[in-house]
Amino acid sequence: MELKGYTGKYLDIDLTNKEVKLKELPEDWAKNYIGGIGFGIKTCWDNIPKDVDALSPENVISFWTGPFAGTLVPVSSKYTAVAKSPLTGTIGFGISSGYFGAELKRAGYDGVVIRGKADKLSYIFIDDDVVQIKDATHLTGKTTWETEDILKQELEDKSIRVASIGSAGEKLVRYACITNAKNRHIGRNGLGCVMGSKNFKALAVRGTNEVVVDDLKTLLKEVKQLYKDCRGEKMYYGREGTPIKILKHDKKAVLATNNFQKMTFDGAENVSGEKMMEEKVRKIIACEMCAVACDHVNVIKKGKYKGTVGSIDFESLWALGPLCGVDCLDAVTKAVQLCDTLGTDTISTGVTVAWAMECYEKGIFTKQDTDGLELNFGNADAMIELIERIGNREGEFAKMLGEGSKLAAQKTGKDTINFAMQIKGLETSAYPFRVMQTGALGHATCITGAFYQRSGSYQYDEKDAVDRYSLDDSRGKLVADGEDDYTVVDSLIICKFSRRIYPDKEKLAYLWNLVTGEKIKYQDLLDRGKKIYTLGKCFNVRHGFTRQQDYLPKRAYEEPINDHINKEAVVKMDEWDKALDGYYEYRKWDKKTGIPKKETLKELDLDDAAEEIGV
Amino acid sequence: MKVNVTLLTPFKKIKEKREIRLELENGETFYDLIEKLSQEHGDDFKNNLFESDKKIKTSIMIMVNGRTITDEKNLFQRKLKENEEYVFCAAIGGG
Ligand code: SF4
Repeated sequence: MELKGYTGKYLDIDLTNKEVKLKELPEDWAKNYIGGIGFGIKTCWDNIPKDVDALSPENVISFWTGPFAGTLVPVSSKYTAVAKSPLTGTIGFGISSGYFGAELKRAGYDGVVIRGKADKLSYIFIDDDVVQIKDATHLTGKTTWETEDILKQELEDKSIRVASIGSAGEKLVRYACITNAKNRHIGRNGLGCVMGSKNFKALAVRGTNEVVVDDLKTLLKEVKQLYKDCRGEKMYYGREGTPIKILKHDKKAVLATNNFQKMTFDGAENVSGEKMMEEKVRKIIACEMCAVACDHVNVIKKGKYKGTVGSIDFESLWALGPLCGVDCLDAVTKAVQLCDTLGTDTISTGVTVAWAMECYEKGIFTKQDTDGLELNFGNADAMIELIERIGNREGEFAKMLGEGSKLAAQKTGKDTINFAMQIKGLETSAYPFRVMQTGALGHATCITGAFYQRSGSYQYDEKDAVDRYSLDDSRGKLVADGEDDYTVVDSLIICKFSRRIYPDKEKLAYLWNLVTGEKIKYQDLLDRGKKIYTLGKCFNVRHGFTRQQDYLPKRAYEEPINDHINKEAVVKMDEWDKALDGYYEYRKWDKKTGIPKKETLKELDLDDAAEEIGV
Repeated sequence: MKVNVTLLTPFKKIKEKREIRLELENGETFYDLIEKLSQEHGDDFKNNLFESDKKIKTSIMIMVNGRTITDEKNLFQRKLKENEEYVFCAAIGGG
């Protein structure tokens, strides 16, 4: 491998035949696909043909780090898992932090590709160059936290890093997550469900090798300054944490409440980040090589939920708080702990439960349908009970919800799909479509379904840098540029919370130079980002996605929001179509179909993709 | 004329309250509002709001009636209107 920072090797493991192969990373990958999601998307493209069911042994899940993991670069101990998503049918990926990414790199691998299906529940232990597929039947039904503890005990090393699934993953909840370091998750797109479908309970890693960089001396100097910046005034992520956005969003009237029916929440103060920090947060934890330290851990000391421990960020707090009408921090902490241990994505869980609550309040579900639960908004006990049942797949109702809001709504009928707040099957994040419309566009074009972290386009609305109540054909550029930029970040992989310490993006390119030895500009990385994102899009096209799936749930077009700040706020369909046109045009994709054009793919050196998707 | 002011993180509450109603003269500006808040709140408010050169810190966000204000120059001269809602909070994105 010419470039430094990489090990140049990855593992290719077939669980069906119990075969472990050591492979060389193709020489051109680093210069074309960076690492992280770039390598993951390329792996999916090369290995998952049309019509492969996400839950079949033919699906391939791969774990990757980037060139910075295991080096001194701050906020870089990240890893990703990428596969066809069982929730959306699109490319699916998530990114997690902690210590796992750096450990995998030190074990000597840039990534691990997993195919097939084990005949019984198994885990993989990578101990530098010794790789074993081991029996995990004794871990059946164990939570992610228990699994991590048991494996560390049985492998007799507390510093082993473990990524595992809970019972939700084993039982194929479509939004099951993968958990490492107890509070860190690959949450979105149901990657834990893919692991479950392969009888693959956990990946445990011990790595003791060093990671080589190109210019250590200069890198050390740079890193010192970056550490200082990590503690700077703008870094709210560490001190106060993202939950302080609850009150801010409430004041801006963009705090989606009761399944997006309202944009302010009467109980906001009770679940505010400020209150949480004052009364509940007992520990703040950092990932390897990070001076930001953003993981705020709540400990509930008294009352009904005494002894509950849960790490809470804004999205989780919102999804299991205001979105479900719940205004009790203890209850939200309990709900988050259940999601984390049973192994479901907090956002998808909250949005799916909120949909069920709306159905219940509208009389579409009765107490009989819900297996006895009174699912009114604000009923924290019912929410908690339901989350537990979903994670354990207990009872017909919870089983249905474990399929995700889209499939549950399709099964329920009665137009409930109109308020299942998802796109392509992925439950949406906290940025409401009707009052943050640039954000909405980014959620809709996102190749993994409704998620804010793939373009960050909601930030234009948050800052009112655009008219957030309308759309036009100029917004596509904002979204597409954001997508390419975030693709670079997720391929490098660098923590998104670091954006304020790299205000000048050339700094990232410079770090790349120092780590890999390749002298390039940020624009070169962006070009690679565009190529990766476009290949991800081609993966979706191969699996049947067109423009048709880039639309919002009907609620966004048909139910205006009115309150003291929002006036008749609704997404207008003609504007939406223009905005989509603008996005495809800017991307040089076909407007009618939303599919990349042949010449565009050729420009990106993706000729084989053009042939495969028939353009 | 009265306006509503909400102080969120990193600003501290005034008299144990996050939301206060302030009385101002007709024709007074946002700058007058800041002066008034500084009187009530002391240096802590100003230190949180300003860089040493009286520029608003980039780590701070100000919203008026739900709208984020980015045009600092015009902000100071902005004439206050009855019942407007001013929110002082942290510029924090992501989640
Ligand atoms: S900012 Fe938070 S998530 Fe990111 S690397 Fe640091 S501790 Fe980990």
